[in-house]
Amino acid sequence: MTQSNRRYWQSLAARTGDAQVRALAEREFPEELPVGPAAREAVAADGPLVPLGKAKPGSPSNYTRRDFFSVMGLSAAAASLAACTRAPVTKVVPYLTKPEEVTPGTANWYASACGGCSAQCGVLYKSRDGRPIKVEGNPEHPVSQGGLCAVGQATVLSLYDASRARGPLSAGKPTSWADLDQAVLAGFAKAQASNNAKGVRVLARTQSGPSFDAALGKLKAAWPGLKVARYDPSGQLSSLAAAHQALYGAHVVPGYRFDNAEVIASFAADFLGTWVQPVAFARQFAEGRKLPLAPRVVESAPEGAEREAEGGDEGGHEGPKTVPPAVGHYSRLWQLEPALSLTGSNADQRVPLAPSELVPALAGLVRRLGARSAHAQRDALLAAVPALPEPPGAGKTLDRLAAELSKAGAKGLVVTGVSEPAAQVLAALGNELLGAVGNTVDIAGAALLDAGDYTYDELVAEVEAGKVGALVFAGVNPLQTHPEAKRLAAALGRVELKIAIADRADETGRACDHLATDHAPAESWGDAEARRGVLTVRQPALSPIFETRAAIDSLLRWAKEPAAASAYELLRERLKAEVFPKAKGAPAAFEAFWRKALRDGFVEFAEAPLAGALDPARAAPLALGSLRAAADLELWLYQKVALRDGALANNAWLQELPDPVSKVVWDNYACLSPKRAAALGVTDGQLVTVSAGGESITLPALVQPGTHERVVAIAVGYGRTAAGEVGNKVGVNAAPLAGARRSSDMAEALQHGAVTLTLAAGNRPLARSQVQASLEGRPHIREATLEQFAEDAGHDNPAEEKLGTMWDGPKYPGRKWGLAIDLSACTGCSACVIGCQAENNIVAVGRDEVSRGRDMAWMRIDRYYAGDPENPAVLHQPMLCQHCTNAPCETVCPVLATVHSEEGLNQQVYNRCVGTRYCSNNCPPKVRRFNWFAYRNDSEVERLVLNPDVVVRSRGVMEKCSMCVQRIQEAKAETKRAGETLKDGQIQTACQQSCSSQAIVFGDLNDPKSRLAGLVRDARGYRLLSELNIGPAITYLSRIKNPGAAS
Amino acid sequence: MSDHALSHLRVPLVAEPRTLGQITEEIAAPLDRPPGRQFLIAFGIAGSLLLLGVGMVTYQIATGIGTWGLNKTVGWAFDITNFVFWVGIGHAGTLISAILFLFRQKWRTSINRSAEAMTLFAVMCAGLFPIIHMGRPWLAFFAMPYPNTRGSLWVNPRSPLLWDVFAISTYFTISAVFWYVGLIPDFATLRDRARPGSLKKLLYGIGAFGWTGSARTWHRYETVYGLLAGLATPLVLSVHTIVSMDFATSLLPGWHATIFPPYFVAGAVFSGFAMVLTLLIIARHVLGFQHLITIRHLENMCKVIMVTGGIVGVAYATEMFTAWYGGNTYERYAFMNRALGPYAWAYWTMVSCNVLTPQLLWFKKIRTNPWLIFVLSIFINIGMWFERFVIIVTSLHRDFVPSSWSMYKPTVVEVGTLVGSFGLFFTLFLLFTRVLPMVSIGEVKGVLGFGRPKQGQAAQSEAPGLEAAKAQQVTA
Repeated sequence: MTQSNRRYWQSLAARTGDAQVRALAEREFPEELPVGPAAREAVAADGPLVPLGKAKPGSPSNYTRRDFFSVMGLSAAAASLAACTRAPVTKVVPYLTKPEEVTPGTANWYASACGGCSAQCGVLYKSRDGRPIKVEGNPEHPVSQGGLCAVGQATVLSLYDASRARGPLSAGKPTSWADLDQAVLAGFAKAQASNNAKGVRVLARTQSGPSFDAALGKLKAAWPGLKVARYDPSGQLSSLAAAHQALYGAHVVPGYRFDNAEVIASFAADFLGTWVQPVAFARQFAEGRKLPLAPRVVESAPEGAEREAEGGDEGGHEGPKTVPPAVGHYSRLWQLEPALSLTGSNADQRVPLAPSELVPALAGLVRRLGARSAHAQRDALLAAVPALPEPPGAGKTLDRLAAELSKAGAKGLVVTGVSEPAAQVLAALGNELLGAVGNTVDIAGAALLDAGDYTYDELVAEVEAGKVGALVFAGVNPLQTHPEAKRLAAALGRVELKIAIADRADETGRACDHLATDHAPAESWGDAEARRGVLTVRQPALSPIFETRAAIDSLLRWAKEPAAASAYELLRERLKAEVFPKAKGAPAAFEAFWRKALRDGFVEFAEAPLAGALDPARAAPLALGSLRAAADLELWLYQKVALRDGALANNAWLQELPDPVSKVVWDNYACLSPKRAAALGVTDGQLVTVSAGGESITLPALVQPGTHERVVAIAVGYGRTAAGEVGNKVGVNAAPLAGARRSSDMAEALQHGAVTLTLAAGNRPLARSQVQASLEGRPHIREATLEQFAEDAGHDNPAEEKLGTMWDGPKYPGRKWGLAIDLSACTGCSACVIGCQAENNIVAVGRDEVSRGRDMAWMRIDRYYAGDPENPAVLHQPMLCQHCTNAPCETVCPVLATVHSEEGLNQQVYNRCVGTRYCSNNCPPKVRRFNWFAYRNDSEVERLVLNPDVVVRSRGVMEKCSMCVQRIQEAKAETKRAGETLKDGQIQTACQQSCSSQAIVFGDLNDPKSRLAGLVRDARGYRLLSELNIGPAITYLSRIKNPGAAS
Repeated sequence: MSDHALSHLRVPLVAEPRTLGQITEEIAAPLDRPPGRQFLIAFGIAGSLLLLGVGMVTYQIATGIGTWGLNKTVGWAFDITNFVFWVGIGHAGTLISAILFLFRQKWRTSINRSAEAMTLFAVMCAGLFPIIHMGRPWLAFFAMPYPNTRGSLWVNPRSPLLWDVFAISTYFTISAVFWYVGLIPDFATLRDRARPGSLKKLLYGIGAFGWTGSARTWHRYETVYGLLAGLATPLVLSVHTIVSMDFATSLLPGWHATIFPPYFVAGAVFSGFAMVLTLLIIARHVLGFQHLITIRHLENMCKVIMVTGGIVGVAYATEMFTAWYGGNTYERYAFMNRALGPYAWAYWTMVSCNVLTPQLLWFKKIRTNPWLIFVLSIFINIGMWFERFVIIVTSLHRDFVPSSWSMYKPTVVEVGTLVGSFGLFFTLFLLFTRVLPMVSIGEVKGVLGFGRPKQGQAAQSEAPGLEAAKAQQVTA
């Protein structure tokens, strides 16, 4: 390309090279721009700058393009800066000096004792940033062995209960501790000054721990003449202790060993649900029913060929049989009871008996056992058994039961849940005759209970006589729980000074002058005697939330102990003086021992066995105790697995936990047998009035299969009026019905008596989490008897068919998580349900929502009945997300809010979910839960319970079991940091962790050596609805029952 | 339209002798009149229902889906029932306007306009439900595949709900365009009739899209119309096929059935025609269009109803047979439960309305009596609503695992929303009768006796379309 040389000119002047023109050409702009000095000059000349648009017509604006741009740029920058304002700043204040043990984002664990019930199991508090968010069983604890029941799991919610009193109260008004103490001490002094015409009295729990008892001892020492009565609302412990006091001269609750038992005869003892120590018993029961693993024999396998010959007859399925290794010891549970309990639902043989028949039947059994017994004191023991007419038709059953028990001999066990010393004496006689003492019953190593100075009834009589000047209710609520609460309430006015030690102004607290507000168990120091020689140490997991004071501290203050004395000091000193010298395998220095005790949560020490002498004659009068004549309709009061005696009634998790048997939530009701209900014309929800001796209550009826025809069974623990916002007015208090039948010599509350039932007007539909009771013949639960199992472990559980697919399916080269649930071990106790709820921030939605079918449980227990409605077989099946490989929910979500992880988990992405609910519709086991409303709880205190590792779901999104993915991730991160690999069993899901029976196993399906893989290969293993080709990652193991030969 | 000679043996489609000008005047008359008493009453009622619906939906969105009667087992009920019902209603309009057009069924000319309007309004009602049934309707846009900055978030092409999104939006778009194109000549007529300088003239003028009425315009118009009819035809089949796949591709016994697509399409046409009849029998009476929408029209539609009703009846029987013959426990139970379970009343309402009612139409006396047809059409509407209710609720409430079985009961909010959707539908339809010609002026002119050959004579050379165009110019 050639460049043109031709030059063009603009004007003649330019062409001639005029200097002025050239100078102008040098400049960028021919005229001065009004910026910089030029602009200033212009301003000086023309006056101030006139803003754009405001220039007078005719006068040129002084703004230039550049000014315009600079102003615009500034405005834009300012506007965008202004738009960058943040949401209101809420400050997270970091630790100024970080406590050594707290690392934000990681949990601290504190071993302690559970405060949920009198069993006081060993627990671990999981604490995040100084607040406990989860209670778990202490796996090292020798008695509870790592399990924790629903109540224990739920105590963490009660810790943050907004209805707790927030400090000491006097006459219902907040006061200071100093004023309260002054008033109490003055009252005590005044009472004592009366020279015990009006004494100081304390009503304390039957079991409250050695430290508490020691504090009580100091109080007694400080105030001579002070008397203590003990109160046990259910009568379970006190009746046992009274019976053993009579028989063995030791006021103990014996230790039972269900794991050693081959035949268990339980007369209405709900030992898997509510009786004495359900967590420990459930674990023992499961230990006594262990089945060997039997990998399924597959057709193509060489071993299968030889089995072929014997297969094909009347076995459960075609194909080769899997003969398991010999079953060592598999107990048989006989349950004789008036109403279907959780234990009854797990029984191998269940016999409905009316309440009035229980003691006579027990007496009949003991006589039969006596006939076969070789006990040295047989005749003396038999002499203590009252001659009672045997219940009609029970003879055959008792004959067989006695034969089986006698055959088991020392491996037999008789227990009864009838909370009367008479019944307990008979059961103890039975065990003695069997020779079971020292084997399935431990008396020498039993936990000792303080009997108190006198009985509750004597105390009430004193109050009525005006002989009590000051009365302290220490952790008891008799005005709610006692059958004759009215009697005490009416007489309380005669007591000058009434003090309650409780965590809230409950029914009794409200009637008192002062409320010495107690800590929650998780805030307290203390201890509990798990069994003789094992002390569970309670240490606080957080400093008190409110201005409360430990019950022990209150007692010490009133005992005029020095200000330094505290529950902590008391416990430490007691351990140092009494336990440390006898401790087993303890470090040499006390400080190290103390640290180890706190770390372990318990101490074991050598304690001399109880020296009790068997004396049947002493027990004989007691065995005659309170016997009721049979009536046309008899009352049976029982405790529900969730609410027990109602102390934790303000706990929404427990109120909303479906009863393992009835599946009803937020209510108690009158259970009637189907036959009886039909005769009365009663259907579910029909209001009925149940009356006994002047007391009557009206409540909805429930047609409950398995109830004895002559029984109306009602749960206690309901009808609270001062439990708090959640628990008030839920259900009806049934305790007064028992009161009318009370005889004056009885120490404790009664569970039964004759009642009348009339239909009341109206209907109150019960809220149930499950309505359908029959499996409709579907193979979701597979079961076999022990005999069938011995013949073929895969009985009635054919191998899965291999289904053809057109694609290879997803591959999981790394891990593939899965779960196995052993239906033989699962008792349906529902601890996992609450464990899951606590771990995963699952809301309680209330009675109305549950009755609309909107419970939010990720883990639920399905319960089905089979057979005769009067005495049905019961099946429990934990149901949760099956984490299907070909998950039906995943294909239908339009926005990919539910997807599969690389480790085989079906994941729900909450912030992507738009809430079409299509996934739930397409989910075969219906385990997905939808947030119908904004269920979030914004209570300042109550939301402290939330697990920070799990998202709180907003309204309109679907949620479901994540297989505790937060635990998986945490463990993975932990091992990665430590440079290790994950070990089998290192990760435990919340449900697995809470299971006393160890029915749930989590693991890696890709690891052939894992415990899970063994269970998956087992001939008992099956997957739910596998014929749909959904490929569940959950394996169920079929249920094996041991009913023995047909009766 | 076509220029072939019409047989003199055919009964004329317009029953009364009318000139082209008269037709224009008659059809446009309601648009010129101020609203009458009947209209105001009807509009008042429809508007109130609409307001009720708006109130209910507002309350529901503000509070949560919990205000409905759904539960953990029954995740869909009234919402999707209404959705499928309204989508189904829409099908008659497309069938009439597109398929009958392609088959040169000239009797469609006097009903296609209102049927298409009905389609549009029904699809609007239908489209509402998938949005409001979401737990978080404000995030409904998540269902659209739009580029975003949230990583690689995309929609799930495997989900039938996503297919729904596309099917319904395509359907609505094509239907709206098709309707509008058909309206262009009439817009021009209305524009030309309007007072110069009036707002009417301006608006109709905009709608008329510069229509001149020239032969070339008509030619292009007919080409486009034909093409759109061709496009809309597969939609008649595809939309309800896809809607049926919401159910058919799931696992649920009672939903998981290969028969669903044809069964749903037939049901949709069935219900759509019933709704067209319901609307037109009132409209022809109120507007005095008996000579335009004749008994013959009604009778023809009744015949379509008989055919599709028959298909639906066979589908019910096939489902039952398959459930029994297939031998699947869950499937068998689902159908036993449908017929004998707690919702049996709904099932038998459905069967009697959808299978028995159409059988009455075998009688000519019945199918030529507008008021009897009206009553029957209402029954069919009810029956078809229940069909969807039965499919959705009875399948869901008792599925695989008995522990989850539950019952569903609608709340006031759900019923109010259903009523509100009818309010929306009728409000829109009533407004339509006030602002647009209910019968296609241009097309009806094409089927007038006017210009038809006298007995024994050769056909006139001029195409009816051209005739109509001329007539328009005359009236202008």
